Parts: sequence; structure tokens; C-alpha cells
Amino acid sequence: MTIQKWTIIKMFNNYLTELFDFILPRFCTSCRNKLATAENTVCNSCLSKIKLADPEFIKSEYQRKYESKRIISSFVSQYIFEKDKELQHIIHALKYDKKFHIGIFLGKSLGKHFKSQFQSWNINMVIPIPLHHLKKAERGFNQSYYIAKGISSQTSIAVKANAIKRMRFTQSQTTMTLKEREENVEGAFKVRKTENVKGKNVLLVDDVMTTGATINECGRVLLEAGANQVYAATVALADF
Amino acid sequence: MKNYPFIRYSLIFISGIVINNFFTIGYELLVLPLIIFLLISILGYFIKHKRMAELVSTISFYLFFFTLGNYLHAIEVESKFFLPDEMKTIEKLVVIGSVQSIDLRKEKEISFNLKSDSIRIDNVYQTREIFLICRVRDNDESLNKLYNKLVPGNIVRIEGTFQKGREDRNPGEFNYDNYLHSQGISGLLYVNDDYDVKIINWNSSAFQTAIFNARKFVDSQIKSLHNAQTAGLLRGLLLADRSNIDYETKTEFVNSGVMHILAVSGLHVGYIVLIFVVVLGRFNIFIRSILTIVGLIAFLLLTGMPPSVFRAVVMAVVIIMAYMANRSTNIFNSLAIAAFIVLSLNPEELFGAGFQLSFLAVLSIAVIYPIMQKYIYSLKLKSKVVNYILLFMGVSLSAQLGTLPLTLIYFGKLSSVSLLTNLIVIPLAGVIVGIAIFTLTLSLFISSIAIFYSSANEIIIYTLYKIISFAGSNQYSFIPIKNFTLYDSAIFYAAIVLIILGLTQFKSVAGKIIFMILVITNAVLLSSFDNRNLLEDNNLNVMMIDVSQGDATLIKFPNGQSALIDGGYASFYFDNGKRIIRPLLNHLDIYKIDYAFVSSITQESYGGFIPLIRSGIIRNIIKPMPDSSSMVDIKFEELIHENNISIKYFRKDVLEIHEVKIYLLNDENSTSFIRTKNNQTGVFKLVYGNTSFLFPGNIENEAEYFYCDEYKNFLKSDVLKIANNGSINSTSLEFLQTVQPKMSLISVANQNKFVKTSPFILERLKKMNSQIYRTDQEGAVLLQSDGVKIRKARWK
Repeated sequence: MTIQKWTIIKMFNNYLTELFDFILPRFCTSCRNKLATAENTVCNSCLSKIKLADPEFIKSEYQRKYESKRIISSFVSQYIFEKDKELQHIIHALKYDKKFHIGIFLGKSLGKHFKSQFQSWNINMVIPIPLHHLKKAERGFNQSYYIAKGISSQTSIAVKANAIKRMRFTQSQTTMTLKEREENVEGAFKVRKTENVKGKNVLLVDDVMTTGATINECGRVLLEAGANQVYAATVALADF
Repeated sequence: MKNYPFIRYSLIFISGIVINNFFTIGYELLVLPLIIFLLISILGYFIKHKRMAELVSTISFYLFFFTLGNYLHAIEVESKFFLPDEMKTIEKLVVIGSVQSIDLRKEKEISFNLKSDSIRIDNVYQTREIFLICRVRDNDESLNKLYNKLVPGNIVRIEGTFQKGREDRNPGEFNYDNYLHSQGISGLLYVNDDYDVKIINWNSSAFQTAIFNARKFVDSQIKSLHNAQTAGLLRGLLLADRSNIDYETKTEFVNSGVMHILAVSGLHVGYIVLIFVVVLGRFNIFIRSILTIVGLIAFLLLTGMPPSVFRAVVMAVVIIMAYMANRSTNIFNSLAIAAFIVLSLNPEELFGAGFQLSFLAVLSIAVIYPIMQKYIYSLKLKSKVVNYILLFMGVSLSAQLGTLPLTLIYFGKLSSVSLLTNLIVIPLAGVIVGIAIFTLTLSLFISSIAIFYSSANEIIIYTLYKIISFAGSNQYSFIPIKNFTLYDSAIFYAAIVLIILGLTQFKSVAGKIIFMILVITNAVLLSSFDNRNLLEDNNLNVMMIDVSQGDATLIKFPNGQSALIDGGYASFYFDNGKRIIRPLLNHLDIYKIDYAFVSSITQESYGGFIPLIRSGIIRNIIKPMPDSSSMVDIKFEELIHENNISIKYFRKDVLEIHEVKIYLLNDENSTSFIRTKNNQTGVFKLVYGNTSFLFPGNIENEAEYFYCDEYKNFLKSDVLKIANNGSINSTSLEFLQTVQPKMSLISVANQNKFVKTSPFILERLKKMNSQIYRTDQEGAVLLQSDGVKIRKARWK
């Protein structure tokens, strides 16, 4: 009975989407082609072209960027960030074209992909890497928050958006080296209320991980505030 | 277009409305096709993977939208009821009906929309559902009393005088009756005593009343915090009520090309969105968007839902919703959706200036601006400020280019300073709206601090007015362009499209320039084909202007000089000189009056002259001998001297203007025995070749006999301007027999219940076989003489 009901709702939903597509069409964020009714945000063809990060690579990146610091307990990332490829278009649209829906879409996909991992880590809360409030006002939103939302919708782990505050307005890091980045983010974050994170397992979420400097710094303040374990998840890994 | 099917359907829908406007089809006939087309298209949709079915389905879906446009327009046309066309004025009309919406208080007037249940004409009641605008004029106290008790939804019994809206009675005039008709309104109901408005049922519609009270409240807050000038503008910007901004100010706004500031529309809605986005910056996107939509709807209600705001709000909401739903916010598609929604609710709007201006403005920004933007970026300017200024001017210029034909058709002026004024005025208006909203909100809590902000706003608005007045009062601020027609508009748009194509297709700069020059010269040449000058050169043109009260006749001599005989009546509500003669002169490209004839010092003759004298367009005045016993005359003489206008008195003389001779017939000796003022009026005769015109001023019988005796056959003229609107006190049989006019001109307003042409005089003229031309029947009358014969020219 319930299955029948669901199919009817789904069918109806499809027709509704088709009607809305007629009035306000949707396009693939990457290739700008029209989306099919079943597709969402990115078309299947583009989605299939994005390079997945294989577990071996993730492991080696973890060893390279996090292990020695002993802050991040474990780390996952779904894709490889390649210049001038699909994923870059998508993340650009998310960050600079104010398309916050992409964040939810990527978060959902991330949550689905690593659902078992997240469960095995016993995570209590998802914390997006915060933006400075001026940056947030300029961009209109924090893209990591919507990725965290997406993860939360798949894993039903609560998002704590305001757990960490970004104190300083840091320079854009896109052209910096690791050392510069580490100095740039040093002391940039603060935990708002230590009792919120005390003894908790926390998952830090960001869009792209490059050197890991930001995630390390956030993790450090979380551990200082008494967090039990800090894990990290990003949509993509950039070669560095 | 390919990716946005709705644009096509929306266009088809619009063409349906247009077609129905020309070929009226009853909506009952359209119901069945509408249902059939919808069913076929739905059916075809479910039969998948069959070429034929798909094709049939698509075609019938197009037809569905086409029929829908027809259907909605037909319904709108047929659901409106009007009084029969021949009922132009009805005295003592009694209307029983419900108050729809009430305008904010005007000086000396309250107006509201009324929907009648029944009306009484000539003591017979009939059930009739019509819409009227009711205007109550009385003393301040009784108006305040009425304003405070009347709310939307009240059932009232009103007795007053019904008048149709003013048609285009003179060349170049706005046809208010057509406008009202398109709004579904039969006409105006004038009430001169608040006693004639009786509330017979205190019903009130809660929603409308709440909106009305909110508007009243905001209005009173604005008034209590600001001076009159500022309050007038803020009322326009926040409440979309422009009645407190005077006519001169509006003209200056038009001249300097910033009239769109006063029309609450896209720009203001943009400001409201901006304010919400800034104020709610810290909230989550969903909350922010929903609050913005709520705020926009509140603003829409507060402004009393004028179509302009409604359009802009629909557009803004479509864009916000598309963003929220992660769908494309393509501007053309949003425009198509907004047009579809607005026109579904009111298809007639398609033919209104407001709809056309606002959609064309957005459309042209979407089309032309990207090209300019690309060009400006390619300049690679060092200075960021200059870059921003150029981009901003690009937006402004694109909007102005796209709407140019419409502004030329509706205003007849091309503002030459608008790019610069807009650069200053648009941001300033944003600041004013922002501060005003802040002030009003603050005044709810701490009014003592709000006053500081309101004074700051007063200074800004004072500056704004100064800038606009400086830019708009200059005679070089605009180029008058007359008789811009639909045909010219079509050429204009074709030229724009060609130029855009040329700029994108041609690679070399020389090619671009040559192509542009070719297109522009061709466009100018093509558009000059239908130009024609209404007042033909080398002819004597005599135009009796249709003024609402009094007389006014405009003359253009064969050498291009001009004269104005009387200026019509001027009252607080309506100054003919300002509202009719001045715009008419502008329309006819007349920028100076060489001879102004003031027949007599009565309100009917000289009232309308005062604004003309002040504006400095008059060179010579010919008036009756000064009358030291009349305060009015003394003041009038002073005014003439102050403006350095040379003065001449009516006494026996001949003026020669090119080949036209003007014989002034007044005899100084005659004044001693002609006692009434009307009889001291200036009397003169115009002779051009074999043709002649007699202007006897406000002459009455007593003086007529005198002139008949004095001049006898010399009075004989082809055309006689009938004195005193055809009153029985003038135009005696003896006078008529002496003049023997082939044509008679009677100036009488069709909406004036005090002044009427006497049937005896009409009968007398008919017996003389004189052709009668009356302004109440045909508006302005234009006669042209080539020196051999006189013919009547059509101007409509």
C-alpha cells in the first residue's frame, strides 16, 4: 500500500517538475545544457566526468597533510579538483554566482558516498568552516554551511553552524604557499561556547581541501575547547 | 529562446490579446476551443514516442495560449459596463454604490473610486454597475470630517454632476477619457457639498480598510515630520501618490528625463529589495528571501497596488522564487512570466503607457546593456570610479534608448541632459527612500531623533529639486520632437536591431562606422516621410483652442509670427494658460507669441495669460485702455511692465504683419457711452488677401449697434468669432446682418454647466446660412486661409 502511494506521489512530483521546467527551466551548472526531469543541478554526463578520489589517494593525502599534526583523526573527500574542468565550474558557481543549492547537492552526494564512514566515526555534529561575517555578507551565504546541510540530510547528524567563529578577515588563499597559508589562518578561529563541543565527535566540512591549513587550524581550536575527536570531509581534494 | 519555451508561449498569449483587441469575439464562443485545445495537448503529452502526437500536442498547446489571450481579453472587455457614449455630462446624477478605494487627502478635494449598484438619471432609478471616480470639493473642515469617517466598503448615496473624462480636445493632448475607459471607469462624479455624500451602510471591507488606514497613517507621519516640499515627494516615492507635486515640478522632471523617479516602479522596488537584503544580511537565505517577498507585498499594498508597482513586484518575486528553487533566472524568461501574470489579471494593460514603458525598459537593458558592458570592459580603464560611472550610464542609456519611441509619443520631448541627471538623481532617490523608511520606522519609537533624519532628508530633497529645476528649466534641456508615430517607432527599432547586428558582425572600425551612418541616415529619411506641419507655412492659420472656460484663439501668420487672442479662464483647479495653451504651443513648435490680444480684463480673457507672461514668451500685448478704477487692471499692467513686454492699447489703428492686416476698430470716444466692461472690449478684424476674420472680443448688444453704425459694411467678414460663448446678450440680428459671416466660431466647453450657448443664437446663425463650428462638439477648430479661400483643416 505504502509503496503504491509513494509511486503515485513520485509520479505526480515528476509531472510537477516537468511543468516547472517548462516555465522556469533548469540547466546543468557545468555544461549549461538543459537538465532532464530526473536530474538535479548537474547533468549525469558531467557528473560522470568528475574524477573520483580513490581511497588510496585519500589515505596518502591524509598522511601528507594531517597525520603529523595529530589534530584530524580521519579525513574523506569525494572528488579530485581539476582546473578548468566540471568540478571547478560547479564550485565557482556555488561560491561566486550565489547558487547555494549546489552546496546542498554536493553535500548530499558527499553524505551518501561516505555514509558508512560517518556512522563508524560516531559523529555528534557537523561544523562547516565559517566565513568571516564581512565575507559572508559579501557572498550572501557560507557555502560550507549548505554542504554541511546536505550531509546532514543524508546522515541525520545535526549541523552546528555557529560553533566556530572566524575572528579575522583573512586574505584569499588561492595564490599562497603552505607556509603562507598556515600563517594566514593562525589564530583566525575561535570556539564560541566550549560546552557545545566538549567531549563531542566533530565533522569539519569544507568545499575544497588544498593544503589542509584551514582545517588543521579549525581542528586545533576545537581540540583545545575539549572536543573528543575531529574528523574532516571535503567535496574535493586539490593537488598541492 | 530554444531553451526557454515559455517565452514563445507568452508571446503567443500576448498576440492573442492584440488580435482580440482588433477582432472582438465573444468569450462564450471561446470557452469550447479553449477546453478542446487544452485536452488535445494534455492527451498528446501522454502518448509518448509518437512524432505525430507530439506535433499535434505542441500545436494545440500554442493554440491554447493564443485562445487564452483572446478569452481573457474578451472577458475583460465584456465585464466592463459604461454609460452610453452620448452621455457626456449628467447633472444631478444620484449614485448608490460601494466605495472601492479612497485616495489620500488632496488639497481642497477628496477623491475615491465608486462602484454603483443603481443610479438615478432624470428621476428614474435604474440598476447599473459602473465604476466612477468621485471628487468631493468643499471647505477644509467638512472634507476632513468626511475623510475621517469614510472607509472602503461603505455603501453611499451620492448626488453630483457626472462628466466624462477629458478627450483630446486640442492637438497633442492626452485623451483622459480613453485612459479612464481602459481602466473600466465611466467618468468623474463631481460633488460640491459634502452633504451630498451620505453613508447609508457602514459596511466596511476589513482588508481594504486596513490598507487605507495604513496609508493614511504613513501619510500623516510623513507630513508631521517633513516640510511640504519633502512630504510631497516622499508621498510620491513611498505611497505612489503624486497629487501633491505640482505641474511645473513634473514638467521639470520630464524635461530633465527623470520622470521615472516619480513613477513608483521597478527602480523603487529595486531599492526596497536592496534595503531588505542589506538589513537582513545576517539571516539565512530562505528566511531572507521570504521576508523580502513579504516586504515587497507589504510595499505593494501600502502603495495602493498601482499597476506599475504590481508589475515590478511580480517581476521581483519571480526572480527571487526562481533563485530559491535553483532554477534559471534568465531575464527574458522572467520578463515573459511577469508579463503573462500581469496580463492574465488585466489584459488591457498591454495597451497602457505604463506597461509598455516598464517592460521595454527592462527588455532594452537586457538586450543593449551587455553590448555596452563588453565595450566598456574592453577599454580597460585604470580608474575604477570612471568604470563604474560608465557602466551605470550604460544601464541608464540602454533603458532610455529602448523606451525612446514611447517617451517621444507620450511626452514629445527628448531630454538632452537625462544621462547626466540620472547619474545624480537615481542614487540620490535611493538614499532618499532609504532615509525616509528609516525615519518613519524610527519615528514610531523615538520621534525626537527621527526629526534629525527627516531634516537631513529635507536637505537632500531640496538639493534634488534644485538640480532637477536647474537641468529641467533650461530651454536647451530638451529637444521637442512632435508627431512621433507608430511608424517612426517601427523604423527606430529596426534601426536599433540593425545597428546592434552591424556592431557585432563587422570586424573593422571603418565598416562599423559606415554601416551605422547608412542605417541612421536611412532611418531619418524614412521617418521624415510622414512628417507634416499642422500649422502650414505661407498660410494664415486661425485655431480656436478648446479651453474649459473662456476663449482663446491662436493665430500663425504666413511669415511664421504668431498671435494669441485671449488666454482662457484660470481658477485654482485649472489654469488654461498653464495646462492647455502652453502644452499646445509646445506641441506646435511655437516658442514666442509676437502679439497677445487681451480683449478685456475679465478672468475669462486674461486669466490664462498670466503664466504665459511670467514664462517670458510674449513680445507685445494689446489690451483695452487702462482702467484706474480696477485693481485687477492695475495689477495686470504692473505684471506686464515687470516682464518688459511692450504694451499697446485698443484704439483705431492698423497693424501689418507680412501680408495680413489687423484693423483695430475701437474708438476712444466710444468708451464714454458704452458703459459695461464687456462693451469696452477690443474689437478687430484680420484681413488676408480676399479672406477676413472678425474678432469682436466680449462685445454685447449695446456696442454691437455702435460698431454697426460706425463701420457699416466694413464689418462684413468671412469668419466671425461669436462673442461670449454665444450668449443671448451678444450677436444681435443687426450685427449678424452686417457681418454676414460664412463661418461662425463658438468657443464653449462641453463640460461647463454655467456657460451654455443660447439656442436662439444658433437658430439665428442657421437662418443666415452660416457654418457653425463649436469647440464643445469638435474640440479645437483650425481654419486655414491662403488669401483666396478659407478651409477647415483636420487635426485629429
